[in-house]
Amino acid sequence: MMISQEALDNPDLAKNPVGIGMWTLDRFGPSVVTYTATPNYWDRAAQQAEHLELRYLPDDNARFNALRSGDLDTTFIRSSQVKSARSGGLEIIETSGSTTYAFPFNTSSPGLADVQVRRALQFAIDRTAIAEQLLGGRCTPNVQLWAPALPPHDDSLDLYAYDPARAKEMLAAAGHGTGLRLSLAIADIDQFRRLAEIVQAQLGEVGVKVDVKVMPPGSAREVFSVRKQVDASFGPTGLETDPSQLVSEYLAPDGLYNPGANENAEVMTRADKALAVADPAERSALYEEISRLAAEDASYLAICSPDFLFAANGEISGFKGARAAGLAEWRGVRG
Amino acid sequence: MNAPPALRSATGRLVASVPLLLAVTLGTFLMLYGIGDVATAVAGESASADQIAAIRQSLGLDQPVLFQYGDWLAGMVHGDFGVSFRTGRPIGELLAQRIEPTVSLAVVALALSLAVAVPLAFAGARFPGSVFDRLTQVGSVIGLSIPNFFLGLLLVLVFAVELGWAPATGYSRLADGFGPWLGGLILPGVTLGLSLAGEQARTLRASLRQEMRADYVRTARAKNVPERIVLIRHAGRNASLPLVTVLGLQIGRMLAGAVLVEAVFGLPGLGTLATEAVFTRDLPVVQAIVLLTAMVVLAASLVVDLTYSVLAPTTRSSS
Repeated sequence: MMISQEALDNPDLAKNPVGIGMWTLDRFGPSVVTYTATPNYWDRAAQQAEHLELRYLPDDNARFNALRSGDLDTTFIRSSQVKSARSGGLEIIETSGSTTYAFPFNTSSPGLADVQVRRALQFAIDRTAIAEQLLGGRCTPNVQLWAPALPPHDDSLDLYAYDPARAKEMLAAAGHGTGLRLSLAIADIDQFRRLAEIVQAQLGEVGVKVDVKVMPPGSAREVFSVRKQVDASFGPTGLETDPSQLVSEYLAPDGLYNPGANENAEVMTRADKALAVADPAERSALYEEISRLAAEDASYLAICSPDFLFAANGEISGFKGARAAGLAEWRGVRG
Repeated sequence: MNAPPALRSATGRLVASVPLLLAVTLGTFLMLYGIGDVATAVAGESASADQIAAIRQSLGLDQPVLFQYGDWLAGMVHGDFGVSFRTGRPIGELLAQRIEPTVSLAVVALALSLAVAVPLAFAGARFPGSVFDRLTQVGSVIGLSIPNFFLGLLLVLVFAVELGWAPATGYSRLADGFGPWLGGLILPGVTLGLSLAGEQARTLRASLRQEMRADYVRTARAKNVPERIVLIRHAGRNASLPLVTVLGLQIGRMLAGAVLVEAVFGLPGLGTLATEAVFTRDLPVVQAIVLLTAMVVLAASLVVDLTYSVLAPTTRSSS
């Protein structure tokens, strides 16, 4: 919504918004938010439904059952629920996600300070097999931080095709033919844990021993970024709408996911320039170069960019899904 | 003038519970500090190291732990639960929002369990060894054995997804109407209440069977008092004492069970709030919920003691 300039300093703005948008807030509860269509909204074609109710259900099964029982018209689902959804007659809405599953490295760790070692690890990962076996093909193999659906992603870049023999050669040339050990912190989430196990196995094939440390959500980042006790961590990249945010998190020397303070001068020069550029095309070109340079610098191990899945029960039409949680598009949805 | 025994007993229990409450708060406080860095959790996904340090300072997390604990305790004594690290909202406000679904769930679960357990126990005691009695006992074991989350999912699949008789998730406030409120709580209430009912039925039945062999029951029968009256009025009153004890213990277990049941049915109660707070290391919220839970359990224990003195006058002097 457009917020009234005069209300910007209101201390209760988050709970009592002042402004104009397609929807007007009716109720803000602990697990439900309800809206009514704003009268005289300028774009009536986008405003097809009279009411919108958004519910917060953190449990995957509870959300799915609520959809199947008719409590909800649509909801975000996991790839493991697609089969059940299809057999239950639900419509699946798939969109290319805007996040990337990535393992940022601590480049000050022994071994990882050498860019040849980091590149060797990239060749050891069979991204296509991971996307197929773990995520049912609903994850686009990707070596860049930005997902293919985002403008900075360089579609022409062809790097790190699965080649374990080459990975072994590069590791041996870098003096790590045997005995490179890495520690990896991962949140105790089923899918993340299984992904870490697969990566552990694939790196094991080229002689790299990975010690996976499973810990409560939130702790993995702390152990990696703040305490700097592990060599790598794992998580989907954020939902940042501006590419500069991903640069500041992963590529800037003081970035949260760059505890080794790795600095690539070419990346940072372009990042500084991009912040000062107003022309969208020029800016986009700069970030595309940054995406390529960052992939070559390999300060992280990207795996794939997961699709975002919604299921709908046919009570609504015109819903096109979302690129990530919380970014669903309700314009033109008819209920 | 001396205070009545029940009042003296209640006062004694209240005073005795203060050290326990303090131990609970201190234990929780120190335990959560052992899990990890709160400032990092509060800072969010995209915070820099400087931002995390600033948050640590602004929240007073750079102070000695015992100083933080004392500061928090002083606030609690004045009714100030503090502010949520995660949302920045007063915790009292969060608890007020979330307490209704949990209390509603507990009330419905308890009412349903008693509505099932008491008649079954009396019937089992009245006709011991009958097919009905054996079915009751088997039902009790089943009720005690099935995990809450499994039963909840089963009920949702059958009664919400397949039959559409009840909503699968969500909570309707009591202020919005009794029908929708109760309708949304039937399945969660059955889920939480079935295991309670199993334990209640077994306890009450065993207690009734024992009382029915007592001398005063034989006397009543000799005086030609109808068996139904002997069972309900004579044996029933004395046999209810163990049931009251079980109910007191079940209060604490209900609050623990609510965490799972609320997740399965998407109820925005204290259990859900506790889960969210633990995962985001929202320390003040966790502390408030733990303290509230401890107070509820202690209050339940106190009510049990007082109920004892009402149901069994001979326990008054000893209590």
